Amino acid sequence: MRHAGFSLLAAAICHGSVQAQTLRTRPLGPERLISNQVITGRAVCGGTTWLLTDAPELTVVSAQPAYSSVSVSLRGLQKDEKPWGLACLPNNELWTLASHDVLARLEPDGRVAERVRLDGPRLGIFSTGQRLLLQHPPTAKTQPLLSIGLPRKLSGFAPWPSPLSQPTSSRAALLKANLVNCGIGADGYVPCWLVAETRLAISDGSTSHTTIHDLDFVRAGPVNDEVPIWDVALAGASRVWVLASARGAPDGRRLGGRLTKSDRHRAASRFVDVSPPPRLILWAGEDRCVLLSSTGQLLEVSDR
Amino acid sequence: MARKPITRKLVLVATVAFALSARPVRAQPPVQDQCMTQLMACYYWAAAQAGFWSMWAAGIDCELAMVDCVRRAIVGR
Repeated sequence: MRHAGFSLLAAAICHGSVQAQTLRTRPLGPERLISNQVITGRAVCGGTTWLLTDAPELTVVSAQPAYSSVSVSLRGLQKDEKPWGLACLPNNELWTLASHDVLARLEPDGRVAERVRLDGPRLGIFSTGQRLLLQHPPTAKTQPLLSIGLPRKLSGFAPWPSPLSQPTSSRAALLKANLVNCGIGADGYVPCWLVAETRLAISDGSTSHTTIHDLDFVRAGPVNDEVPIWDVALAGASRVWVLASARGAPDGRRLGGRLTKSDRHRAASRFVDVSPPPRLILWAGEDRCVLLSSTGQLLEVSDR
Repeated sequence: MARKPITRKLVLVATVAFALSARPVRAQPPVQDQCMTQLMACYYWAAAQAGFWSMWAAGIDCELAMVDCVRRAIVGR
């Protein structure tokens, strides 16, 4: 049923006309809730969003009882380690790529509590349910870029259906063209895409429940062509929030721009050009989406 | 040996390039062009390694460093 819902939804996204802006934006909580450090990972477990920054710091953003955040510095990293990506498993088990071949489990206080040596380099880390999604370096063959499994059972990782690697003319171009990003999932489904493309793959890990659609509407406004899709969040049974990138952001920094909400009951989508420009999506529900703005404040986008 | 001074110069160039790229990361992500420039400099350094397998491994490290640079430049929020 959920697969049918996401299929209808994807069809509505691709083929429906975009209506005038009817989504509203309002600020939540205090200004500068989160520092201006580059966010290198985001994980959502239950109602809590975790962020990893380039500092490196671990930040937890909560909505209850009030919007607040707590940041701690990472401790226990080895020399030259620059963590990338963040995944959370049940019981708030946080994982990051401490280096390209080391998984590190983080405690909520920022301490590196465990290390797992990988059997090869990995370029990205995400999560769905109780398992991790790891991105492999691309090869000349067209094959899945992600694999799913448990952090302590590397031999049990299985291919994730999509996205597939895209061939290019050179090795450097191959690596750059096959960077994967994944958004916030729901009910076992995860949205993933190649960062330079507008094709979105929504999957629960099975080939029969994988939908791939080109989100043409993303380019309806001015976007950064290097990374047209900036962020995606699934919510409920069939809601998809798509944040397009913005062009010409202040200070040359890449930011989000237009947020589009899809509705499975209609052919049309609604959108809003979010201001101030958002950095990423923190939470998403059926009718509202909470984003982190470039000013460090939380923004809520909802239907009028 | 004529090869040694050239090798030392290549290593020095690559070392300087790496040192410049190792400046503390501030709130701004790296510019993507810098990533490709660093990759080229790293390839020179890799080519100076002794032995085929050392060169190959060093080249892989260069590409992984480039991927890290690019993803921070274009995916980092």
